[in-house]
Amino acid sequence: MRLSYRVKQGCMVETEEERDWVKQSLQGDDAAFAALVLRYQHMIYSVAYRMTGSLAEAEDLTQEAFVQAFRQLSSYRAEARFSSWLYRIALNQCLNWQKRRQRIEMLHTEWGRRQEMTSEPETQQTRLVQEALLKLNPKQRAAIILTTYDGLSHAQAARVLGCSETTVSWRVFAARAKLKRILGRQQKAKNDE
Amino acid sequence: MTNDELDRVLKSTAAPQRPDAFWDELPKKIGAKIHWQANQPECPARQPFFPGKAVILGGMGLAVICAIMALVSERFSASRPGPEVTQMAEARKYYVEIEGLFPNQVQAIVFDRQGAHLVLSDKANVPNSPPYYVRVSDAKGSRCFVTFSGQQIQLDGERCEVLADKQGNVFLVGDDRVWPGNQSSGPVRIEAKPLSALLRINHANLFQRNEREPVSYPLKTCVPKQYSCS
Repeated sequence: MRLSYRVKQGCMVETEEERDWVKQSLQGDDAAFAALVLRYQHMIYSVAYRMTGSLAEAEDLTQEAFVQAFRQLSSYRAEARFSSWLYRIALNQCLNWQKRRQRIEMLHTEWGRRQEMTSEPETQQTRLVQEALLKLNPKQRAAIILTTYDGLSHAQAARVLGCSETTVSWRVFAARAKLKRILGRQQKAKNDE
Repeated sequence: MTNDELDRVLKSTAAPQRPDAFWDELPKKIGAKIHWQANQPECPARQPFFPGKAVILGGMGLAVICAIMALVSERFSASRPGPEVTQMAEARKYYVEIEGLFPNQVQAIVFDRQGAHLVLSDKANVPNSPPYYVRVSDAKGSRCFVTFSGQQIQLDGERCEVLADKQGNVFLVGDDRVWPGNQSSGPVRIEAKPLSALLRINHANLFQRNEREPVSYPLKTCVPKQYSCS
């Protein structure tokens, strides 16, 4: 079954259709779970990439997030948004990755692989922003990704991250301050050249 | 760099694009992974563990230790700090952590029924001064602040400034009236004291700011943001 959608970046729309897909997936309908994957794979992949800075890891973590979601599908409560629930699983995968891997070594390896895998050349700006994001504490990075890139409110991000809204606000504030310092220095260095 | 400029920079960068074939194949890969994991043989069931004598004795010993700890805790419960001091200690802990994150930007930390709220200056221009603990109690409940001499709060519908003299006495000064700390004024009760003095901690050791004396400001010289009590 091939379904076509219009995917809005950062838009988390919960529908009756998705709840039906969850029920059907629990009954063993592979196509229903594939429909959920098709709907959210871009969103989860973007989050994974921004959290890790690695294309290969983003792909692995995206797959792992959906596999975990399938395993835990019976624990999903229809009162919560499916997208929030999925975000939380994906971010937990990314935070666990952070602890497991030697990030710097991976980025060096990834640099060589990236040249072959991207169909579009990565601009210097994109690389600088991603490097700046990777300098943030992982929880601050998650907060800034959810609020700035995916357009979640602080309250929504708090539900995804499992913390208070105040904590999200502080993390976003601290992350922005640090990003301004890093990107401001880079901009200044670029202007001086 | 302003917040808007930062947002523009961040949002101008998209995650690297992948070909359509990648997105078409991903659900199939995920499905295959799910089925592969589901078909893995299960680990053989473990044999039930019968607790030996050593485990039973260890459990009894642990129970005795817990009972002793409960008795000791009960004995010293009278010397535990009351809820007010606990709240002040929490306020102090918040202040120390936040001041470390945002040096010279903290204007106030407010504690109310909704939790803790932070009032920060956009720039690191909040003058050095020791923090004060201000507690306002009225019919609606009580709100606590950690703030500084020269900052403003809203009290009973009126904007007032927190001022401290060199002796550490704190006053809340409105347009046409003054509330000394630790007095009741009609339905409103105010307690205002230096935070370090409340917990009997040496101010010089606790706080890393250079100035040690409370700084008092003449009325209306600083125009910080205000936080409303109501």
